[in-house]
Amino acid sequence: MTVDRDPRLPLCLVVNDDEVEVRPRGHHTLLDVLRRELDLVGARPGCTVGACGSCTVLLDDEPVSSCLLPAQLVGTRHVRTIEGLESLAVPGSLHPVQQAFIDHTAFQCSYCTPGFILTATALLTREPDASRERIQAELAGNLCRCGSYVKIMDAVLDARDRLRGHHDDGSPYDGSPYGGAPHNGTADQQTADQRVADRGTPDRGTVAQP
Amino acid sequence: MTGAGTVRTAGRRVAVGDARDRTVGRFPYVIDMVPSGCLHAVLVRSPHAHAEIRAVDTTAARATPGVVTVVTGEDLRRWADQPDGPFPYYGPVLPDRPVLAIGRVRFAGEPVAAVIARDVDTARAAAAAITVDYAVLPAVFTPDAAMAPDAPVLHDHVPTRDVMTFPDLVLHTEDGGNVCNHFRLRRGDVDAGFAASDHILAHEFRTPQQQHVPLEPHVTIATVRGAEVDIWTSAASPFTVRSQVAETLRLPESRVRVRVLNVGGAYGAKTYPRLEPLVAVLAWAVRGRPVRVELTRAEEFATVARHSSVVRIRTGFRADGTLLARRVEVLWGAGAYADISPRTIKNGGYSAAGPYDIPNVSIDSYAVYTNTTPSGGFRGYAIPQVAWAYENHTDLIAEHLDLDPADLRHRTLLRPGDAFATGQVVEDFHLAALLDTARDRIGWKPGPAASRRVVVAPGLVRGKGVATILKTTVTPSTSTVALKLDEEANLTVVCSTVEIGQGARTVLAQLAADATGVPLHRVHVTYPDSAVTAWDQTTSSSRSTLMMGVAVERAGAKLRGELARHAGTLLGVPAAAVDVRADRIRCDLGPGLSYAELLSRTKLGGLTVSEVHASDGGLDPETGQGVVTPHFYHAAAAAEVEVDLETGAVRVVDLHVESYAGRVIHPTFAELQCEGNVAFGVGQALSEAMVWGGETGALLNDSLLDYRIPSVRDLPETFTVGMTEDPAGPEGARIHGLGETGSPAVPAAIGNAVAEALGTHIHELPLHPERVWATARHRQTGSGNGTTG
Repeated sequence: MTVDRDPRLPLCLVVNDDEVEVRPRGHHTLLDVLRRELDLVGARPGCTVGACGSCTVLLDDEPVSSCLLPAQLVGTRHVRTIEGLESLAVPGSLHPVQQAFIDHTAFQCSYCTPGFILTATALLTREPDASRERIQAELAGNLCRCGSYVKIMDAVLDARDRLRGHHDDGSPYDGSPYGGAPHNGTADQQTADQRVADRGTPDRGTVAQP
Repeated sequence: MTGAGTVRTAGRRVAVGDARDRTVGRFPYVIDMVPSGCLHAVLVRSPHAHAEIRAVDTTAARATPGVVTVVTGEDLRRWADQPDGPFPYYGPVLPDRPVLAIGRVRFAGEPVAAVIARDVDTARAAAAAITVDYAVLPAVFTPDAAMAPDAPVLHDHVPTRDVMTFPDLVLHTEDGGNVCNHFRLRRGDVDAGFAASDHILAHEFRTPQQQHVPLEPHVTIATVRGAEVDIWTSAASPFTVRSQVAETLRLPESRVRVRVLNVGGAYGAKTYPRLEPLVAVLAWAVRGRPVRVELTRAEEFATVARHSSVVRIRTGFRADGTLLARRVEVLWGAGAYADISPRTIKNGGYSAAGPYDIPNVSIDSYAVYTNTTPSGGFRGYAIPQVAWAYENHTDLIAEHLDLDPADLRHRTLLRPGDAFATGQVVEDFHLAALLDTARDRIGWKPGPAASRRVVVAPGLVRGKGVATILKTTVTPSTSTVALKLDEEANLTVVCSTVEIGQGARTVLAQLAADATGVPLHRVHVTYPDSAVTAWDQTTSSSRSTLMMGVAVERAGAKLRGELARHAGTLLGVPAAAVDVRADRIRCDLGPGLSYAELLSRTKLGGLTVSEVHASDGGLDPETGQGVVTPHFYHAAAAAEVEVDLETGAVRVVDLHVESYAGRVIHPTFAELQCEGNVAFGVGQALSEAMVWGGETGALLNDSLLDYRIPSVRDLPETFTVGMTEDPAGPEGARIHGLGETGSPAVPAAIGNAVAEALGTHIHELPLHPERVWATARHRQTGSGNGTTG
């Protein structure tokens, strides 16, 4: 019995700090590889022309549309997906941008959410003092058809302020804007409830500036 | 309603149970699923809008290594004669659509053949090797053109079913033309009303087809094993899918299992079977192995769209603004197959009367086949199109009488106790108050239209506009739910409401917690599974919080009654003496016991109850008179725009939408729905239109580069949403759906604001720069008063 050698060249990628070996076909995009071979489904197909941002991942900390990038061209650049964002912080805790999206309920169907979070994270890493206009311009490459933009903007502005607060006081980043509270089970629900209670219920009809 | 918990969760911004999953990429969608051994299918689609299929050559595709089989319309025709073969036609109302084109294609993008292969790449390559010989036929793209006497006829015969699937629907269908249904409404004596009028105005308005653009495309996985079918699909009405697939594969419904996870956007696109009958047939063709189809964005545009419309509206009124008579003719571009059009045009028909007190109304509404993507429900369900017409028309009446448009509405809007055009008396109706709220929020100065026009800089003009709408929800309709309390007194809400982004699983958990006294963190809401979860009509029509919500509240009361009964038996007291609330069961004596302790001591092991909530109604088939909704949803919008006369660009500088909510369950999700209504309304007002053309009659803008949906930068500079709750307080307040209510008012308010800025109404959507510029230019050169109408 002859054993055929797999003719496809293995491709080594660094994804979420792990070295992985994949065997894409020549035309496969990074999105194809992430979803089909690595089971990292947080990057999602939306338009496949780079217009909607649902497939956003970070490549050396810069957001890219993984639907447009041939996997073969990734090279040695580090790929970070939404599944790997947590490990930027303390394992098991969330990145402040993720936490801010939860605190502001900045989602509806949530299909676009990972893309928005990664785009915002990259911006705030690069430009911690990004203005509202700057954030809007950067997020304009991500589409939310449900139209959750008001709360997405609130979340990103809040995340910016939390991250900036941390930078300002020079304290070591503990991965949680709330002092590393656990983020699972009932504790999570209670703390989230409490946070909402602490913040007070926003008035209906407050002026929103998306 | 008395809550059964210590603190009622309804009305509070409780934490979203699955929020973390949503932010870490682990929120499950069907698109993430690829079962082991799964085959993948890719479709070959027609490039022509209308053509006969002479031949399909699949030889090369079949010979491609890795291809399992190829299916064409000819196979469907052949299988239809086999006793166990699939029924080749489908459609929620009329079975007029072949699963794959048989003999003829009726729109560019219609599936002609399917290649099933071991992987997507192989299927795609093989599909490209299929050649189809077409004989092109004349095509028609708009409903008015399709009703012309010499128009090409799309369907020689419109098939019907023996048993109608929709109790609210009456069909008026005739062969030989393109009308697939005609809805009539007759109220009062419209001719007498016109005769008594001081003034009569008539206008025509148009809207194009638009696409839902759910970011998760349609995706379906089907497996046929023996006489059982297993389906995972991104759909909003699993039981509608089940009925259709059962019919298609000629099986009892109980043999078809449909499961749904979170849906990555629907907005009407996933309410009726669109991809499932085809994937079920493909799975039947390769029995035993799962078949998966995931549509591309371009294919999504060939799957479903919002109806295009032509609205001809004529109103007779007195000098004081009293409306005496209205006659409306609405033509709806149904696309190539009926889909849900026969019903859509009913709702869009009676709603064309608007939220006004008009004693004499005559409406004719026609669903018309066109050679385009089939039209279906779309957020707002035909109201955005007719509201665009009747709200521009209302402002034109105000202009004619030199009245403030908000003032005219105050004189004519329906008030509680008045009868809507169907004769149903409106109650719990606050539209005049909503209008005031919206109008005042944007700083409206009373006066006729021209008085608010402001030139802010050379070539930059501002105007303001208002709009008011009402909407119904599908009636009659039914929701059922089971509440399962397990031995640890965790509660499972077993229901088939689909999480499509509206927060249904959170909201239903709140209602269940409040109704049962089980703490919210111990309440779980299932995903739909037609083999397990209770039957529900549909997750659409802004009905789930209302219909399923009431079912859950009733079931909760029943569950507490059962707990009281069992506790009474255990403790030797009458059930009426037992107080059940907040996870505690008490009678006068002793400290009481928890729900879990009761279940343990009585050895019940658990407790399950179920409940149904059904609404009733229906219309007379000849006059369109009757009950159309449990209560009328209503909203008002006010907008301020700035128009650049040099470029035609419209900037919405301020907007407010006020919707009547009755009772808000989760304020944040409710706001999100209302804000989403604004985003949809702005896209429809300013940019979104499917454009058919080219040599073959194909869609010219089938990608998100060319079909622009709003980004964060395209929303109004400042906007607010408001939800008016029952002034009498939450006790006894009725839930009004919010998922669509505000959306139809947005394009109309923006349109009226643009008209005020330009000094003339544009009668066709969208108000894209080219159209606005042309209108402004036309007016400046003094050669007319608008582009159309």
